[in-house]
Amino acid sequence: MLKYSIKRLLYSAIILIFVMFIIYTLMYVMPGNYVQQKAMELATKPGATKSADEWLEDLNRQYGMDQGIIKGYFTWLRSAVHLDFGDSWKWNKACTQVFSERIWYSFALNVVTMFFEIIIAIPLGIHAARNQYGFSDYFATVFSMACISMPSFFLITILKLVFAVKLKWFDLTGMVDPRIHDSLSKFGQFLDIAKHYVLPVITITIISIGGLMRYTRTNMLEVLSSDYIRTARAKGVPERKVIYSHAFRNTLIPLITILGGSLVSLFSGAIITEQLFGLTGIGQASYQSMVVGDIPFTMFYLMFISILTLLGNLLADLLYAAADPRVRLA
Amino acid sequence: MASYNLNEILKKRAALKDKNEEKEMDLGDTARVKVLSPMRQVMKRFLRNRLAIFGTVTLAIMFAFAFLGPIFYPYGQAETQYKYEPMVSSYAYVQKRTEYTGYTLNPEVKYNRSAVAKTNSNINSMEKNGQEAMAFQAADGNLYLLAKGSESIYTLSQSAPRKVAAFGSGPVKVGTYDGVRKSVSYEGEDLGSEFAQAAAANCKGKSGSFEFDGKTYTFQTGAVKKSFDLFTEPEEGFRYFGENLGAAFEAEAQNAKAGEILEQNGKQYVVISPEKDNYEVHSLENAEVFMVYTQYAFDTCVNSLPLSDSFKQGALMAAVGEGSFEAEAIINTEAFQKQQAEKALAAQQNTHVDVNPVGEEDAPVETEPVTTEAPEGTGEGEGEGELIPEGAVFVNARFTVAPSPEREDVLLISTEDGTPYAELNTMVVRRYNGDDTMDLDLKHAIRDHVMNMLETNAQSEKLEYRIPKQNEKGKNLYDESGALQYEESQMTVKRRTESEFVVDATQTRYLINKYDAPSSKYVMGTDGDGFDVLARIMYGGRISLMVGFVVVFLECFLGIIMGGLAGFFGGWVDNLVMRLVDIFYCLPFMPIMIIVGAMMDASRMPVTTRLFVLMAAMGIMGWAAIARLVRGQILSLREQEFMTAAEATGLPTTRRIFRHLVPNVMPQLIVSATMGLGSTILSESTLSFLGLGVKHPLATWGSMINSVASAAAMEQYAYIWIPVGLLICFTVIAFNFVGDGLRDAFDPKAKR
Repeated sequence: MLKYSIKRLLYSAIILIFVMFIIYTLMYVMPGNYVQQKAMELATKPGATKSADEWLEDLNRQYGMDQGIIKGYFTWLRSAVHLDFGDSWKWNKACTQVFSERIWYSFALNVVTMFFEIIIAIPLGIHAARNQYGFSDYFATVFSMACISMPSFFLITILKLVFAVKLKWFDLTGMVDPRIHDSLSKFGQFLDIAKHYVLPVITITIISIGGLMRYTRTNMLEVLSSDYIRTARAKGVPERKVIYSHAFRNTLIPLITILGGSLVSLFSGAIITEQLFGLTGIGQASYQSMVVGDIPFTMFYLMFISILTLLGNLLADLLYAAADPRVRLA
Repeated sequence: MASYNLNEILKKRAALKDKNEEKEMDLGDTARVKVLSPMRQVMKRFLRNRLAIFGTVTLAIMFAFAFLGPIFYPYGQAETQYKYEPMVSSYAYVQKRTEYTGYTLNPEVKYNRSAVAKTNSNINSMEKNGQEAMAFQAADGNLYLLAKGSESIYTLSQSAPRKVAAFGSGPVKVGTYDGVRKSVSYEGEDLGSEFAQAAAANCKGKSGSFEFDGKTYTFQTGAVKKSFDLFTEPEEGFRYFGENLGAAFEAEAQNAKAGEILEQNGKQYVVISPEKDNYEVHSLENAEVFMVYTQYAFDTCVNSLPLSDSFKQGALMAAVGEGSFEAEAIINTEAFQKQQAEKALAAQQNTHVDVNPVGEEDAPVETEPVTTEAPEGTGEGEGEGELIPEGAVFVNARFTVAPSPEREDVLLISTEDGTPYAELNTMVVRRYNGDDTMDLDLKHAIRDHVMNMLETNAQSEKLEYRIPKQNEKGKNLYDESGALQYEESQMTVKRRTESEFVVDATQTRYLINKYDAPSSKYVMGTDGDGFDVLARIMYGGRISLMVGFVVVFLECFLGIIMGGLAGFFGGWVDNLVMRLVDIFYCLPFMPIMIIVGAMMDASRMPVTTRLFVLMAAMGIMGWAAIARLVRGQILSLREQEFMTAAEATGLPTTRRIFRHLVPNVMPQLIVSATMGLGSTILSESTLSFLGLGVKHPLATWGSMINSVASAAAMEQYAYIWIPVGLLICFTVIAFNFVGDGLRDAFDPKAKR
């Protein structure tokens, strides 16, 4: 197990190096004068701390943009290994500082969302599987498909229209209510932020619920059609017990696998939802950086996401082996 | 769900056969078992799935809507819609003229700029003091006489100085002593070199006095360094330089203030004061009128008729003097009008060749560039820069000027046979942009209201009047016979300041039809660019579906090749390809697409190129999943007996791959391609919503939602973005249902 993990980690590192090379190439081929123009813009911005040349120098030092693509990549790699990601152009401070300021907002959003996702999707999936081809199964299938097919921006616009514009329950965007937030107590401030999290949580929950529900249903159906369930029923085990202690426990194996895998992605942030709701999480920061061509922060964020993906895969595999003793890791 | 019970059918058939042939069917009869081909089996299973049927029907409708709809729909995706709509705009501007405008009568007279610069303030002070005339000496030494000709008309004359007398009690300047050259430059009589010596001996300090030849002279420092102005005591009494005009004149002159005009024997004299307490009397006998100032503006009876300079000058001088004048003018006004109309018609016919009329939002520029004088009467415009239309014939004619019998404060200029030709008016009515292109009767109507408002001190008044109709280019419309077409207009005269008024008028304008509500003409209304929304939805669907198909085709193409290579050859090829797949799996799709979109923004790519790049990028990002699927499938198929058999028969590799392997991969491929279509459309619309995908003017569903999804617009234009969003939803759902249905149909036992 340990040997396998180490092997996988090394392998992931190699994959990461290549992934980052592709991303670096993408940054490298950015329209030539664009970088220069950005640097000029940056230097003339109010509160600019560096001149255009200094920005370019920083960029070249860390990202090797002035060298050949291979050499430049290794320049970047050296900086990255030393955890030196430079200063973000968009936010005008160190990438790692932006990251640490914002990551917990995204994390909170994803944790709450995942909680709701699990408590809604799994019971629904089980229920659908128990009534295969019944009304509730059809309903669950259609509902999950609708959730999967829902464009997040459309859902967000609808939620905004209903709850923010018509009912005026929530603000259209923002993390806090700027009029009252400062005058609130600590707990009041927490509640204020929580209130602004309601619509984003609903959005992401709806969008992600469908996949998990279908997955639960499929696995449950598979388990329910297996021989030991038939045996259990034939023995006269009560249906409740059949479902919850025999079938569901076995369904948990694949569920734990994918949920464990997505634990890592709790940190990844929700780009579109955060941007459209104005949540100051990592997703919004990355979106705004990417749109304005902030090379340092974009590289940093993409690297972060790639690491999360690779770790997620590794974790899923390990959990699979841990949860199912039949599985042996080579 | 069509029930298809094999047993029942067979029973029926058997019964039928029994009846016909009276022959019994035994158990092994081939007709007893109906065997369906694999394709038909799949079809049967697919058709049994209600959700799949729903998806298929939805997709069929969507395709018809997106691909056939635009063929029958009259509007294009980027076709600006126009409308005629009454619009209230500032139409005219009325000003009670208080300023005087000058017209040069004799351009050969050289005058000092300062002589005319203060004319308006001079006239004001004259009116305040009730003076009829005033004279002054300008910096060029010439005398100028400003005299009131008649109400609102003043003339300015110039005369060389001709001193007839002098008097006063102030010291008389003798001359200037130059301390460097030690000489005196005299104003009048030369006092000789001895005086210069006396001056040299005495001129010290700032001021003082000395005696010379029995007279006392005072001096003080002059304008130049080391120079002194020398003065002497004034001579007593009134001194004539020429003819003695008598004691009465003398008394009158001594009582007069500077600038006052005296008359003696029918001649005019002016008293001026070149220095303090010293006065001179000059004759104005030779004064020549070279400018005429007036508050009046010219209004021609025929709209936009150009007036010559000689006409204007003649009219003004005639108003002062004898009442009639001769000047160059366009007399045949009917012919002129006809010409104008024909020209305008021709111009319009030419413009009809233009494909797209341009809607104008601000005040349209009139067709006729003729201005009869400087707009809005500001200052000293002299009617210059006048454009005379081609074909207008100026002839010499006599005119008479007389107060209008009908209207107050108006001078009417008529031709010899008594036809009104033009009017002089102090209440100037012009188009808001300064053009003089309004009909005289409209001017009269507005003027009457303004007069009324001035009397009652009202702030605004309404009237209804006809104004010329305009076409989409803001040009006047003419009917077949060349007559101007009119429309009724609601006008409001509003007071802006004490003497200024603005006329707001409703006018039918040709405008871009923006944000029009749904109507029978535009089923879903129009958007902010004046494009028909329904047409854009159709074309947007076209682009979304097209993007979906191209991207999925590209994904499959790359995926099959890479996956096929990996699966078939195995070994290091497999290893290499699968590592590549791992790498591409790890690349985050949305962030990369956002970066690509931002880069395309930065390089200002043309919209169609952008569309292709977008599709290529999405295809390249998505092939890994297909490759993995194909490889897995091929790996398992490769080991099966039929492949061993194919190899044993010595079939070439390509044939084995494409004839035996690929068809067996097809089912899974079709399923995942169908699902991929849905997710591609979803990503494309998200990117377009963020403004990073397909760009204006190409329509896509995502960007259409984005254009009305701002906080301010989302409620009002919900009828646009909700249907569009639902279209995206339904398309994606339909693809997913069909994909699901196909998977079930291909392999009913497969794990979902």
